[in-house]
Amino acid sequence: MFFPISGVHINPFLLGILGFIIGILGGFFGVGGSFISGPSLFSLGMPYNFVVGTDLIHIVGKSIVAARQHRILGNIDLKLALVMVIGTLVGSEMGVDAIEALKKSGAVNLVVGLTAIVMFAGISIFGAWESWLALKKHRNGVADGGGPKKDVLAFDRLAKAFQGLALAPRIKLQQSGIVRISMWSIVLVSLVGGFFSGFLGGGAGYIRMPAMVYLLGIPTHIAVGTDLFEIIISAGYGAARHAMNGNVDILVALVMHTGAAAGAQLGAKLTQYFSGPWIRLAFAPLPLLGAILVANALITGHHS
Amino acid sequence: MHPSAIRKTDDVTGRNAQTSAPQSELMKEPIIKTARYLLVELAMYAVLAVIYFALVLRFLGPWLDGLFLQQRTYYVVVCILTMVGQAIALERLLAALSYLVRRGKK
Repeated sequence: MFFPISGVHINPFLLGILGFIIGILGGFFGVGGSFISGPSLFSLGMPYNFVVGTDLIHIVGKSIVAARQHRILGNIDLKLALVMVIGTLVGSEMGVDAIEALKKSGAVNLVVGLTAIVMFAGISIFGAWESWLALKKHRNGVADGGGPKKDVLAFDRLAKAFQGLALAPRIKLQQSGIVRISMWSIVLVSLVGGFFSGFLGGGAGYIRMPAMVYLLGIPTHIAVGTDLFEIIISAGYGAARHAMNGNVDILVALVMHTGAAAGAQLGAKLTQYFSGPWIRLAFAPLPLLGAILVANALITGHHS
Repeated sequence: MHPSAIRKTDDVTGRNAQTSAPQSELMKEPIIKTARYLLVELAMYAVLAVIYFALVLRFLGPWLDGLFLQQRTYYVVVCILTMVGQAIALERLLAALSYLVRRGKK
């Protein structure tokens, strides 16, 4: 089928199936899934500038469906999400500026590629190690039960340090079960997430979701739901900017979203059957997949 | 069935699953039933989605292409509104299908 805006012929069923798969990942892990949809759309023949913008607007739609489901399940901390939006938007602009500076130096592909590989592989290895330890800790009875939402962290020193930061204003996050946390800790974490969103592309949920768990001490289910809510605003902003520059094919995004909506709702529903450490363990291979895709692009010279 | 009922057997400890095996056996049936409902919902949804995107591509395609080429600011607004509108509509559609399938089975 011909999509006149981006000028490409793509099978709409493939778009729907791709959306469905990414939707499940998004609803379950709270990520945009751009590390899969980006290369996939590119390989279907879409020009790369359209890939980035179209993917972002499709992420907005998918995140609305998934976030609504997470809201029903009580997995969204609205106060946390609204504070994070500030840092994400500022960080995203900083990331884009860094890219522009690197473009001038001529080493943009190598630097971005290597940063992505180190970040993705690091998150993957650390996440797998920590969630495995958390599962063992729970089995040995070190931590008490209380259902999947009662989260267990094997490595909580960083979260304690961030929560202990006595820098005003300090806020209470009732939904996340955090009595006092400095707003600056939240802004800092979202700023870093936003920076990588602008620097590496996509919604950067693969960085923000683990950062919320390991650095802020947010329970995994709340981190997934809150990240999705936050993605609606940050990806919406990014999508509007790309649409203004002519980088969004809304027809492709709408077709893709028909599959993504069903997948996102299914993924969000599935989270209620798994505990935090299991979700984190299942999440661990995803950034590694992203690292492999980037490494492949660097080696073969296809900088998609 | 309340979700917390399933959570107890799927807890990371596996304690309930180990100490009260009959309970986990009892839980299998609702999970299979839920999966069956989901498959029926997905099949119905897929048919409606195919009809929907055929209509969107046929009727909205030329208009959106015109907006993209001539009125970029309106195009941005339309992009955001159509995506948000579609997300809300599809979410409602999925909820309605879920309700209909479950009510039909009962």
